[in-house]
Amino acid sequence: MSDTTDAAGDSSRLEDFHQEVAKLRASGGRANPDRWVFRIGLILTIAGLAFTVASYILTGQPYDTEGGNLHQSNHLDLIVSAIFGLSLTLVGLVMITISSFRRFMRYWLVRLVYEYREQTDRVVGG
Amino acid sequence: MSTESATPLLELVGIRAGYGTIDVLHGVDLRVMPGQVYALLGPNGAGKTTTLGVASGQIQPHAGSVLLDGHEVNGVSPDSLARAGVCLIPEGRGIFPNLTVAENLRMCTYAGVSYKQVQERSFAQFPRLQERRNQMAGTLSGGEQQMLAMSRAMATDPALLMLDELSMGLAPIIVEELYEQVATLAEAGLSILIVEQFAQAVLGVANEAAIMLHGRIQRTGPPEEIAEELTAAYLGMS
Repeated sequence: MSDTTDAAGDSSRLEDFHQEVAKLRASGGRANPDRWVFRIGLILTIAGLAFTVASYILTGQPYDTEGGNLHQSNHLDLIVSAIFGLSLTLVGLVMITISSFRRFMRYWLVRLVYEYREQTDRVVGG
Repeated sequence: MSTESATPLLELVGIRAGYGTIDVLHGVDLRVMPGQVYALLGPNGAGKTTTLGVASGQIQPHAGSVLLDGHEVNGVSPDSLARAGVCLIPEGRGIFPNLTVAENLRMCTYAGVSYKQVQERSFAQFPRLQERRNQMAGTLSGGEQQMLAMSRAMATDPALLMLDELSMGLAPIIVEELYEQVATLAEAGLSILIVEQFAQAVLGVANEAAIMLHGRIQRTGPPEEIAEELTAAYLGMS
């Protein structure tokens, strides 16, 4: 078996394989997608909280006045940004919960599969 | 056409992969040429099975590329790879223990091959399976189970066959018989990647061999050269 390439190269199976592989669409793949969901969720949660706290702190700042009139639009802007921050936090927490739940369910499934296999082996062995 | 100039059927480039937060492979490079029998050897926990998991699309690498016939296939699903012709016989054989031999063979007709063809091919390759056709697969001996697993794999007409620990738990005479079949398949031009902990049997049929330790390929070369270094590698002297 010093050089089996020639024999293999002529085979129609190998030709089929070349064609099949050419048709495959590589998505690039991503190892452990849950980890990315968790990370993005964590970033969103922290960013959202920061946004909300910053908005809260800014409401304590003196209002801009122009000609002695108080501009309430600033206050409304801060309320909107605080709600936006809370929304980000909520989305982030949902992502963290989903990824954690998925991971937990996966381990549970693996455990079930393992136990089922053990049980089958015992039954067949008996 | 020399082996050196051909496009590898399977190539792993700088693969880093693992399970969750635990990295097992730390930059694996490997090339299986068309028609080649490549033996990946190493002690328990070296990362051999994980390498097969990456090559078969079951484990996504954190970094690096999986190339089939020169095309990057990172992220392609295991079933698409299997349909294309990448076949893995896992450690533990992957048969259905609570189905009969015949039913196990029927299960692989999903690939579009008729049951009759599957039976003819399997029984011609392993006549012992014909005698056991109505026996529950779980009650077969280890060697017969491995024969059944190989029959099921061959029924899908793979272009690249990956075998994980073919000899595990089997008597030497059975291992020899199975490797004779592997050699026959290799002579027919099938590319085979074999992962083994016990090297003696596999080195007889391999064209190329590699030693894997701690998630890295330490040495690649002709089987004769690798055989000399194996003892030292296993005992941690290299």
